[in-house]
Amino acid sequence: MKIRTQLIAGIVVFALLLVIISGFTITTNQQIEKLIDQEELATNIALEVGELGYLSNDYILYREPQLAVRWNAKYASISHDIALLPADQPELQSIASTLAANLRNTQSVFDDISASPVQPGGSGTAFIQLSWSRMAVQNQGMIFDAGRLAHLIDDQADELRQTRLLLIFSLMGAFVAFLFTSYFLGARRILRSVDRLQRGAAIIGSGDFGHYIDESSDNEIGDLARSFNQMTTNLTTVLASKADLEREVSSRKQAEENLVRANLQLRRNEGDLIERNVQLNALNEELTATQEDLQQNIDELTRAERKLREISGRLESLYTSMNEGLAIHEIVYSGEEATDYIIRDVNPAYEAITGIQRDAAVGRKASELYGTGEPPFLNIFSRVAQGGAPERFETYNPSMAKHFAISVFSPGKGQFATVFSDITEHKKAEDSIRKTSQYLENLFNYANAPIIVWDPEFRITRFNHAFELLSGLATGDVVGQHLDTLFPEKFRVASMEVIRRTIRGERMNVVEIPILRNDGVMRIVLWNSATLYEADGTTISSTIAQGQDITDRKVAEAGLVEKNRELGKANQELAAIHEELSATNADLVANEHQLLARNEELTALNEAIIATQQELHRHVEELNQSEEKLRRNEAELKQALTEKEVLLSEIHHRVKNNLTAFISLLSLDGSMEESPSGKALKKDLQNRARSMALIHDTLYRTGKFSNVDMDFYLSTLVGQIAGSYAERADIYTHVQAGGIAIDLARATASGLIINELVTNSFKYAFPPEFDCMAERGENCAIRISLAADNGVYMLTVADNGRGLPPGLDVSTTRSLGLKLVNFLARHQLRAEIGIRTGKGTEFTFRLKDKGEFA
Amino acid sequence: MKENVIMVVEDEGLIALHLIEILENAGYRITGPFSSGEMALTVLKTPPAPDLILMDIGLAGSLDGIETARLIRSRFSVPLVFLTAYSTERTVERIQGVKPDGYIVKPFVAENLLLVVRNCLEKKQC
Repeated sequence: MKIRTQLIAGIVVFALLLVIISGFTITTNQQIEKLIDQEELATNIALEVGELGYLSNDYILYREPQLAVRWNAKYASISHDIALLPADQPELQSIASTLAANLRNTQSVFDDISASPVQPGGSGTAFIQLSWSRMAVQNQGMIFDAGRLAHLIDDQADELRQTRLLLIFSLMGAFVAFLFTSYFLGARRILRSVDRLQRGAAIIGSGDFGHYIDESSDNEIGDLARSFNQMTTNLTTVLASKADLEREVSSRKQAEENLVRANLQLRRNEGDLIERNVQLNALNEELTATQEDLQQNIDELTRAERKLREISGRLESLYTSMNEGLAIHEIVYSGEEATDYIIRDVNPAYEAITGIQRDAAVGRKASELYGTGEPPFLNIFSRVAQGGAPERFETYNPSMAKHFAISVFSPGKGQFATVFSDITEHKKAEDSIRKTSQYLENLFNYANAPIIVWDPEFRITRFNHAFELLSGLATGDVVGQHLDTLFPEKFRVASMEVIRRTIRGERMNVVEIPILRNDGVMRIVLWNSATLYEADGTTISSTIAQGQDITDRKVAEAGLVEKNRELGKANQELAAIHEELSATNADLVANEHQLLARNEELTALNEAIIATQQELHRHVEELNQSEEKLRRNEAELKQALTEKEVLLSEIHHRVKNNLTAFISLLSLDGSMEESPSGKALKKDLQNRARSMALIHDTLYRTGKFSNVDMDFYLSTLVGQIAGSYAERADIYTHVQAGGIAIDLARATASGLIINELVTNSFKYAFPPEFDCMAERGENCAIRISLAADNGVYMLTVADNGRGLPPGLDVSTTRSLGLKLVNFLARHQLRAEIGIRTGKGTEFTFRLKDKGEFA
Repeated sequence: MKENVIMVVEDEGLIALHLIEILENAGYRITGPFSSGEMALTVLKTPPAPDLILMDIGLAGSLDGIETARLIRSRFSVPLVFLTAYSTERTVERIQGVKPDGYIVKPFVAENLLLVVRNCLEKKQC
């Protein structure tokens, strides 16, 4: 079997085991969880039954309806829980049934007790005890059953836990078994096969290709071993072929040595050939030199020919592309006299200018071609053809209405060539320039404004008629003179300086320069000038200036200046006024800015106020809502408080009544032994109960439930005690509490203490033989006072009787009354006790404030 | 034989007196009574610790008996038994949260009180 198949089979078996055991474990876990829940339910039932017992006891004692309601709710809860208990096993089902039956019995007992009227007198206590016992029997039974049920369920859970543990161990055992089985059945066998294969490979690797690996298994290692064996067989075959190759190499080496020897012979023959070759090379070099000379000559000829072709090409190009018409002619002689000339060749420009096609012109006589009878300009052409110098002339052809410029030269004797161009446009432009020039000349000469032109050396070149009138000088006298001759002596340097600037290219604009007339009068002239340049645009050719006589205007201006000065003065005054106005305006502007800024602040403030108002509105609305809510809450609280006060009042009234009933109970015949000590004990008990009942009565009567009005309370208490000792009407009691009110706990303790001490005073302070008047000089009296000082209360109970017995220690006495006084004062009131005897007995109790007390 | 010490935390003087009388007559030594939880906690800081604590629910001072018991549970390992009267459900829940060692229901009788105390001290099971 293949290793892969073995592995897959092993893993599948182990996975199946794992799944089965895991399934069992999960199921067991779920059962355990269910049992734990059931155990908790049973435990909870036991706890609830206990609480039901408490509720039963309370109800039996107090008989309050709300306790019955709570009891029924608890009963329903237990009943619901019992219904959830497991019913799948007989034992558990039996216990659950018993529980349910006991619960129903409890309900019956409780209903029976509820239906029973409250028993009056002494039999009530017996009834309560009986009811408690009945309920306790039921409750104990249910608690026992619930506990037993929980215990049984817990046992079952433990069993299941053990089963789960067993399953987990089984899983671990299965895993270990899988590992061992895999090792012994598969891995060991594979390792042995691998070992054999490794050893066989080592032997083959050492060169023993005849070794055969003995591995017969049918797995992958067996396949590998068989592949190794096949490989060694193939290698053996390859090694045999290698011997044949070595033999062939040896024979080839022999043939190679033969070749080397033949090669040496060939090299010797090669030496002879080289010598002959040197001779041939010398001959060859001579031939090469001759060939180079020839080649040089050929090259020169080629270059000359090329140059010639280039020139010819250029000439041809010039001939065909030139704008001027070109015609080559040959003179026709008659004897020695030239009579005509024949056109031998023309270029394309000739055709374009004359409108005569080349084919029509070449070979024809001029007299025929041009239709003039006489060949044109024959005398000039024949002169040039006879070896004369080249000539140039212009002519007008009326038939073509064109001007021509014609150049003539002779390329050979009896021949001439004419180069002519159409200059009709040029002639027209010349005529136009001439006319323009004439127009400008007239414009210059006859302009109303004086105009003068001078050259770069400041020599006057032009001088118009208007300038003649201005200066009184004739053009002929001025032209060629230096420019400064026109200016008065004292202005000459300054005037020339202004004018020199025109040479540097600056234009004169509205510059006043005076001119000296020939009659000695000075005229003020306003000048404009411009510099004129040569065609190159940089060289100054001349300067032209145009003047305007402003002498009269200057005179008028002087008058205007005076008036202007007056106006300036007025203007200054106006400026002063304007400054004042400006200052005022600036103030106004500043004020306006301040006002604007203030306005912006006010606007921002206004916006903030609006936002605040909105916020306030929102808050007011919220407050209104809160107020409404508070009002509702207050009303609810008032209602709750009223209800609470009513309830408190009812409770205090009820407690007082209960205690009063208890006092009455003690008063009934037979309640206690009718011996003197029994009667005394009864009275003590009644007084103690009365002191407590009176507290509740005081709270009920005053309607104040947190603090007790001690003046009212102590007066009533002491009055009642005195009333119980009616036979001692000779003893006076005085109570002073000064409107103090203290909390319920301390008032109760204080009341009990006062009750004990006042009772003691009545009982022991004034024996019949004690004469107060004789001993104390006053009536027998008991005084009780309660005073407050900075949060500390001082309670005093004093009598003017015979005092305490000598050696009496309050803290160790066996007397119940004094023990109560000591204990309540120290433990409950946290009071410091002071005892003074002498003229009677005085007990003082210093009660700390409530915070310290707490 | 070692004399067991019982701490009484009860603010009602007469009930405290009654408890002490019953317990002392039965031979136990009493520490207290303490009327507030603060006082009880202060005393517990100083060893030796009592063998049992009897704790009333309503106490003077800012801590009630349940809160005092919770603090004692978190700091000391002394058995604690509550003295309870009629309680609201909320109070019962709070009491259960503290997990006391036992309850004594008021009004109690001496035999029941001593039975619970003896169980707690001798069997460590209240």
